[in-house]
Amino acid sequence: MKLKMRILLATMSVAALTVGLALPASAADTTTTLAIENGTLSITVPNAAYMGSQPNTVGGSVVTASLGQVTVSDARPMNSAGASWTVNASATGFVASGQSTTIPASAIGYTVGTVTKVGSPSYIVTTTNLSSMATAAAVVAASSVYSSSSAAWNPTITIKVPSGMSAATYTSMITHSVF
Amino acid sequence: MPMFRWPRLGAELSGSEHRLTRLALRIVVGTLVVISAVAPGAAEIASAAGATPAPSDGIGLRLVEIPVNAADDPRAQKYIVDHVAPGTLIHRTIEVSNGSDSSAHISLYPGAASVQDGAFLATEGHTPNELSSWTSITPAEIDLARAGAQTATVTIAVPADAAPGEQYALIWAEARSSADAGVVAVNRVGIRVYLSIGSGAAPAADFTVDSLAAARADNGQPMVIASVHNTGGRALDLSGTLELLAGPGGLSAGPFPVNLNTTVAVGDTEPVTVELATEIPNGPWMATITLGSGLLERTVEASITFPRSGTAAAVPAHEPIVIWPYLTLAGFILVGATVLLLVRRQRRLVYPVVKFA
Repeated sequence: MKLKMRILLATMSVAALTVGLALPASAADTTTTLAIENGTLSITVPNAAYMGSQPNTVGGSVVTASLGQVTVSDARPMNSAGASWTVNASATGFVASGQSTTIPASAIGYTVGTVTKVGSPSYIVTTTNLSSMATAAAVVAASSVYSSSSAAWNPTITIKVPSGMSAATYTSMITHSVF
Repeated sequence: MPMFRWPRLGAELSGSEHRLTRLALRIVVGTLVVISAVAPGAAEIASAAGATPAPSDGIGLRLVEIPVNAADDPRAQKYIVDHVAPGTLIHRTIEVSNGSDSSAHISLYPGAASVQDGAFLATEGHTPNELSSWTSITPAEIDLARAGAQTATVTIAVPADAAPGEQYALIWAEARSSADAGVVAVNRVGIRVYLSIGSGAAPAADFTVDSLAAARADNGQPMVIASVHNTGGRALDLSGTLELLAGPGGLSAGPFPVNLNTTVAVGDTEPVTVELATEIPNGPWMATITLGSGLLERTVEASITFPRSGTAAAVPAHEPIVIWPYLTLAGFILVGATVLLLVRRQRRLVYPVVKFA
């Protein structure tokens, strides 16, 4: 009886092991792939931008500053179907350590300005200015890109500074996403 | 069949665009010359400077491998596009590059995406969705030296109980500038993921172009709006061109690139706009639009006339009437009839000989 039990247990554990081993095998990669020599999609944004200083005013004020050149290079495989890309921009509110006053992201605006196209200049670029950078939205979109190309622009950031701000250095995080 | 040809009437760039392009090209050439003086290896790029943009100087991302069965699919070369059964595990190699002049710390992570109102939409930060929660990237953090590149593996583990249908996500590579003062810049580059889930063969992509409408924008620019209906089982990334033929005095214009960065969700109908040159006469024109997504391509035509303002009624579009198959058929019938006639005549001639023999 004991021996039988032992055999049974052993069989069960072997079975369990087999199942355990078999599962990942059956869920293994089923798609055969091949390597491709492919160009990249890339984005460059100036490292950190200084937006200037502003005295505190009773009625609030508006700070306008240039962010620096944003460049998107598209060297992905081009063919008759062409390519397209979109750049989303968003920001977090301006905060300063130890200060309770903040400038909300909804008070930050983004103006694209002129887009300089290089390489495949016949492609179409659509630009959208943002009055609020609180949610990510498309600022520049390119379509019908038929050869390796790049696009560059120098956005203007407009910050509506509320009144009653404490004197400090406020920092915001501006995100550019290309996809 | 090449879909892109150099612009003809009206598709020319404006003078200012030309100047900008020339200026930009000059800047690129200048930059490349400097680079080639520093690094002899870059001389090859410099010789092709006519159309090659400046080498990537930011954070770059590319796909390194694609499925063998999708090798010809232009979409699969840029995005992760696949159809898998529930319970499947897939891997793709990607490569991150740092083209900046300093070392960079890069985070790799999946994020949610969706297809809505004709656009592929990204979300902020690490916002998850179902597909992104099945996706992992190893390594997730990479330190890259100046001009460095490293590969990473994207793994998507589709659960056995995943609902059938197409899902979307983005694979992000993110770099941040130091938090000195003012603005911290966050740069992200994404590779789109279109994953169709279901047992059996991949659902076919298909679409119809139902109608074409001529319109005029508020600034007087003529436009053509095509209505595209996604009748297949996969999202479509549309691209294409429009040509205006048989216009007043036998004029033709185009091809004009289709103005879209449009992704049409399964079952949706989306307008696709083509902006034309202002000097285009009102018509009537035979407008021929060719739209494609991946390996799929559709060409339709409709007779349109541009209104003085607003949008004209949409004209149902039909496939171009091609005469040559009918001509070929007529030719075959003619040849067949002649042969038959000849054979009969031959028999009539031969028959008596046989009879008398």
